[in-house]
Amino acid sequence: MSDQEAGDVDTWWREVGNVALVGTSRRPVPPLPDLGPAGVRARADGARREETLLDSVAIGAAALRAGRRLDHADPPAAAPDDHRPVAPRRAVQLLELVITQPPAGAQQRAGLLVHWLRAADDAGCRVPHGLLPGLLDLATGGRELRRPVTAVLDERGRWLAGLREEWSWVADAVAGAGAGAASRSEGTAPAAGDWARLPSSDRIAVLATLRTHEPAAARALVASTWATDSARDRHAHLGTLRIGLGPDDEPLLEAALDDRAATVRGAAAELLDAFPGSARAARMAERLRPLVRRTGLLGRGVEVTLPGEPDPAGTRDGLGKPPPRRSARGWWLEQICAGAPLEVWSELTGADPSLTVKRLTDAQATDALTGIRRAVRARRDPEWATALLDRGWDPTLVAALPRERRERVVLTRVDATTDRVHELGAVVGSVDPPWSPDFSVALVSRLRASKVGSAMVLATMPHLLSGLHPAALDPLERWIEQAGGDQTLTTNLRNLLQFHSVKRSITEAFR
Amino acid sequence: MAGLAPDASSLAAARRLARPGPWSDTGSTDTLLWGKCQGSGKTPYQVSIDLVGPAFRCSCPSRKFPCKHGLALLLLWVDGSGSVADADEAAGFAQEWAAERSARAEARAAGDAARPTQTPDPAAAAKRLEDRLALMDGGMDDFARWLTDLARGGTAAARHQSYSWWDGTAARLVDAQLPGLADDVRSVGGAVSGRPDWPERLLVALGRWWTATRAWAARESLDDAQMGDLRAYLGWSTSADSVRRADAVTDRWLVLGAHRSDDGRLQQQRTWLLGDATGETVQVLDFAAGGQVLPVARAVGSTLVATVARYPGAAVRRALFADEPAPADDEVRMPSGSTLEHAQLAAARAWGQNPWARRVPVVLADVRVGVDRVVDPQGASLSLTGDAPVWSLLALTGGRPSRVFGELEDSRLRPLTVVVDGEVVGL
Repeated sequence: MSDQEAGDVDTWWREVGNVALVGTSRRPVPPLPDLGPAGVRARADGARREETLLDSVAIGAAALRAGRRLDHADPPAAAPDDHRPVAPRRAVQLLELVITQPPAGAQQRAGLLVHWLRAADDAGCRVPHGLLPGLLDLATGGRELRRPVTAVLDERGRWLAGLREEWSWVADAVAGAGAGAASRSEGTAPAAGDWARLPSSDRIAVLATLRTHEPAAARALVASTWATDSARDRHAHLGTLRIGLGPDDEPLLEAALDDRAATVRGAAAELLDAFPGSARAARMAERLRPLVRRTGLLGRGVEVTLPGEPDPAGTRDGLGKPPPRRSARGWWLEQICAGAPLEVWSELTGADPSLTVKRLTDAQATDALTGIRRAVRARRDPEWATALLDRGWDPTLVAALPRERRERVVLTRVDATTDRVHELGAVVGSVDPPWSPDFSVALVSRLRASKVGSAMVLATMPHLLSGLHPAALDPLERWIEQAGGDQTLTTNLRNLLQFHSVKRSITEAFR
Repeated sequence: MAGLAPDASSLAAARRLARPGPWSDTGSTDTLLWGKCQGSGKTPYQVSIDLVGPAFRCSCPSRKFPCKHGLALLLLWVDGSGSVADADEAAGFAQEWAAERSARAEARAAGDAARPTQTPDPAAAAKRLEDRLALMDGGMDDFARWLTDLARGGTAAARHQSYSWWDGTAARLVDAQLPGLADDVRSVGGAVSGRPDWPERLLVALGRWWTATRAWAARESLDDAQMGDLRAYLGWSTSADSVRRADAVTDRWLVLGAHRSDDGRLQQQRTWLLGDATGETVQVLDFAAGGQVLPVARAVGSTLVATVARYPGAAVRRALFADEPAPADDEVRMPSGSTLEHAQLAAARAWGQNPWARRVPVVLADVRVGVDRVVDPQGASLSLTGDAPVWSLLALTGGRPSRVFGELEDSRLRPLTVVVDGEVVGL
């Protein structure tokens, strides 16, 4: 059909549409145009107007459908090539299972997913293309998945996410992780100029990552803009020094004790508590010595006196305004005890930490012990931690113990806590995961032996999920077999068992 | 551990599924068993069994618990023929259960052997046909009058009619045993009020309806194939038995793709098959309503040896499996596909033969998928249907030229299958 004829047909079809719109009672039906080789002709017999219209509509609709001309468009842009190999087949099966049918229950899905994603990232693998949409959807709803998902998307995943509004968080996550990832993979810090231009929130992310690998480089970044940063930023930057804190950080912290902002001075003082060998610790030792005195004929008593009004150097070291509802002198004593080397106590009392703790009984002892606890926590001093834990349970001190002793102390505490199930979570949680085989097995056997085992499992579930060693899975299975009619217990134990079993399978699938 | 199966029919169904054919990606740990079963959905069902419980999970919609897929996976694993990876020894409960069940199933099969057969009465059948034709004649006359009234008054006036006006017309068509036509009227009536492109949509529908009334009036002059297509459009069903007797062909069939829909009332499954020797593409339609479950779907990309009986029709024919398909030894390859222009021509040819065909199957070569369209190497482009699984398609193809099988419907493409790195993936 020529363009002229096609034009005729178009005009005719438009007119047919107009007639149909207003009705044949108002407008005559246009005659059929030449429809080319199809040879369609109007009815010979005298059809009514409506019928002629309907005939035309039928012919036109058929012609329109069969003869429609295709649109033309530029091809859409293609994704760049991926850099990573796809995850092994068995790992992919497990991922699909976790996505569509979380084996340990829907609540445990995120935990297993994160484990899978990290394992994949560690193995340098990517997610298979077909699972990208499902995974992106899950991470859109669950923020804790976003970082690990972003790490294994590779080019295809990032390209795909860029096409859909709901997945635009990926671009932000990639940009945010970019500076950090670059410093992690290439071992380089951003250039000074780049650092200065980074927004505050991104700087924290960069520092946090860099501190784990190159603390000195991160410290140099903090120092490079220290003079021009706001008090708020200086305070936040000091906070990141907590990661990988070491004696090399002392000069910067010591200088920060002269900062204009009280929050910055406070943060610096608190970080310096971690260094018993620092100049500030020596100054605190000097302040402590006159306050502690041995008493009794045999010198087996200890008396602590409250410090007097501090001099300017004392105020600079942190003996400032006390927190609300604290006596100023009690606060100063705590600050001095938290900052001084713990060895000073043995020097002053002539006793080991355990005896010293026992002898600290007078009115001032509470403030002194609070300070000592802080020092023990900051320096992770196992001997003092043991001494303090013998005196009373304090989950925050458990971390200072070496793992073996830590687990032993916690087991003892579990035995003593069985009647206070609500406290059990914090007790068990003070051993950071992953747990040793012995501890895991011993804990399971204690839970099982308890009359309130069901409640105990419930109370410690999050820690059992993150900490339990695979060695405890057999005992767990035997427990399930004999758990009897307690449905909640059985379900929890089964989910626990399945969670660890799948987790182990995921780890193995990437080997 | 007796009584894992909810009833005998689930177990029977599970036994039929408990062979490697429909299963893929099976695996196990000491405590978990998993696999994917090609079910009636376009994507296989994910099945997993917590062996400690035991607890079954399956993504199929069955309300039975455990469903046949779970039971079948368990049977497959107990069987221990290596079809489920790592299956060294089945858990005790599973073995006991399987042994007990196999004994019961045999007893049941023996009872099933003799079923009474009905003998049809030819005279009564002829009378029924006559009554039906009279009813349909009346309905079509009535519908033709409704169409001419509409043409006289204009579509703009019709647009202002309430939905009950369309629904009333549809109801009269149902009464006249024209349910297919009634569905079409309802769906167009629903679209007219809400869509900006309603004038053309209604115009095209009027043409389709008018063609149906004219064809019905002239039905004496239609051949069997044309009549078959018209019947299918009007909703006058052809009995499966008569189809099975009439036009069966044994061939190797490639499962090109499948589509499944569920409007809440009715589940529908459409499976496209390409015959190796005949070169013809046919569609197998399955329906399920209420608590019914759709029959097992065929794995997309697999080749089946089957006798397939075709419904009377000229183009885009419907078919049914006359016997139980078996997996073929050597596969039929996915056709290499054509340009959009050739696909459009093929569709036009099909519509020339069967103006009622709603959708035409096409294999497209080297098309690039975008968020709302495909573009072929010539730059010709086609929009995607609103229900196209576009994100999966984009993820799988990455915007690279790929072979796509789909349905051409209302000048849009509904992609059903994509070939990625030589692997045929159902969407």
